[in-house]
Amino acid sequence: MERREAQSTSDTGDARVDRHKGEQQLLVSQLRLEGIVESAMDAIITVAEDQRVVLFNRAAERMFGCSIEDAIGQPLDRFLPVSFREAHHHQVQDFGHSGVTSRKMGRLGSVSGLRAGGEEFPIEAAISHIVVEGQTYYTVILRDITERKRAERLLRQSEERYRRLIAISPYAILVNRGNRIIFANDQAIKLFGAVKAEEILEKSPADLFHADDQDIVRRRIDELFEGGAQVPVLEEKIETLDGRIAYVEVSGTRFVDEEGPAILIMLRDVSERKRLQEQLRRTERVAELGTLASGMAHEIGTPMNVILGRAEYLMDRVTEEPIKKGLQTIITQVERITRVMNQLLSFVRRKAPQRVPLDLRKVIEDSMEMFQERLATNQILVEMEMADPCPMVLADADQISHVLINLIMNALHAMPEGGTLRVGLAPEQAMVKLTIVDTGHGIPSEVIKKIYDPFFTTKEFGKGTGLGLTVVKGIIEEHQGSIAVESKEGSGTSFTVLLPMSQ
Amino acid sequence: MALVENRTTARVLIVEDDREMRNLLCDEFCGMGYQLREARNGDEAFLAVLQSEPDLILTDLRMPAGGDDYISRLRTVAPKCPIVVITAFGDATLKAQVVKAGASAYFDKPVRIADLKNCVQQLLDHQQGAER
Repeated sequence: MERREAQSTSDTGDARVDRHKGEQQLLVSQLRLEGIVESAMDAIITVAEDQRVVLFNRAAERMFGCSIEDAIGQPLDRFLPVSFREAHHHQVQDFGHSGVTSRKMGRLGSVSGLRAGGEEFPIEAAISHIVVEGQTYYTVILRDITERKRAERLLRQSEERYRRLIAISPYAILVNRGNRIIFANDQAIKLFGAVKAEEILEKSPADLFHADDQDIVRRRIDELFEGGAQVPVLEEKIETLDGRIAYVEVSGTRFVDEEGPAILIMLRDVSERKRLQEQLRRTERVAELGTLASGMAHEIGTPMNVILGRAEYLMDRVTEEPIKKGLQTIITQVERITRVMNQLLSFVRRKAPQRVPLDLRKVIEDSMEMFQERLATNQILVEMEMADPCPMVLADADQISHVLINLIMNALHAMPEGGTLRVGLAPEQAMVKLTIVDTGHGIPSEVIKKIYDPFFTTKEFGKGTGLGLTVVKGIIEEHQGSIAVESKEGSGTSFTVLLPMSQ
Repeated sequence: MALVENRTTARVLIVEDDREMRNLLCDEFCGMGYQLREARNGDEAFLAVLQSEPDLILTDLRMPAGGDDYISRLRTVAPKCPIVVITAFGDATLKAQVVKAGASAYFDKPVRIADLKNCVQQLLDHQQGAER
């Protein structure tokens, strides 16, 4: 008995020291843990199996606006919005079985918390569990992500705004990174005649341009990648995926983002503008010529009259034949210049045609009548094949007469020894086709492409002004028609004129 | 053989700003036995007519104080006088305007002097006949 007492006394002494030390260590450890938990920035809530709160740190107090005293013993539900409560129950159940930590409490999407004041707010949560002495405890670590969500939303809105701007931009926008197109906006897709972005993406930008311009484009891209920030705006040609040719104004700017250097390419279709500019230029040229011609007419006409007049004056006063012959030459040449001037001026001064519904048959018949005698003299057989009835064309009668007279005259000159002149008139789709065919000497192939050139003539020196067909083509084109020629040397020539039908 | 001179010598006013053309016309019409007066532009022509009305006016259009309304102005001070207009490469519209304004004849330069002379002579004879 004594020994046992003695043992227990000595035991107690040492054990007491050990126990004291142990208690102290435990206390320190507890304090340290508490310190850690209380100092954590994230909210830490631990609930027991019955979902009642057993641990609620200072951050949780701040987050939920609820004091420890009020929180302890409350069901966790209290800190969840009503809508989440049911799901939460299920999650806890499932979770208990699986034991896996997931960042979200289940597949609810975003998780929300409920502050004491009733405010709901988004949270990011991690949940874990531990079993202590047969009891399961769940620990949730929460982060209030209200701010983060807000920032994300603002960023998304900003991105949306910029994306919309790029989408509605009238400019076609491409982004080139590493010589591959990595972005094309809607306008770009349309510009290149594609239906989906995929048709343009991954291509090398230079390939999108017309063969003629590819080298220039490559050089500019290199310049940009090598450090030039911008290259000047250039006009280049592209060939679209559906085979059209368009003119574009291109500008390129180099920029650098997280993924490295890239080029922002902006393009604008200027084909229409170019076409209008060209048309305007042509109209202006014609107007300029008109004014120029009128001014010239006076400056040339008067001196010409002086030359003519003086030659005539002298003619009346000399008798020597050679002198008279010389003077006669002067007179003839002045008259020749006059003819050219007249034709040139009438071409340049021409007004827009006054187009009315016109029956071409009548115009043809009238024109042929003018040549009746000459055709007979030259032994030319005339064949007329005119559709009856033939639809009317929208045309200026005088100008079409001029065309016919010119073509018939040419045919006549091509058959000095006789031949056949065939005149045809028939509808062809939305147009009326007029054909003038002769069996004359034909036009050599090297000459045929020049026949519409002003002042080009195959006639003998002094016989043709070289303006006839130029004027004819001008008139037909102004009528929105077309003229085509086919010829074989030694066989004959045929002119085909198409004029739009009047509605 | 001299012409029957029981008519007064016709007074012709030549209006032309180009010196050579004016010389040519004067040389040619002098030989016809007309009394010639010259004017170098529309204003001089006007003054000349005011001083004494000619029997015929031969005029260009394109010159200082010229133009198609110049013909109308001439007509106001020379209502009966035949006016022959010669102008370089005019067009059909111009011709119509000029005739409407009161011109008696219209020629496009370059005109054969012979044709011009015939026309002038005809107009003067007609005029003199009318005066009688």
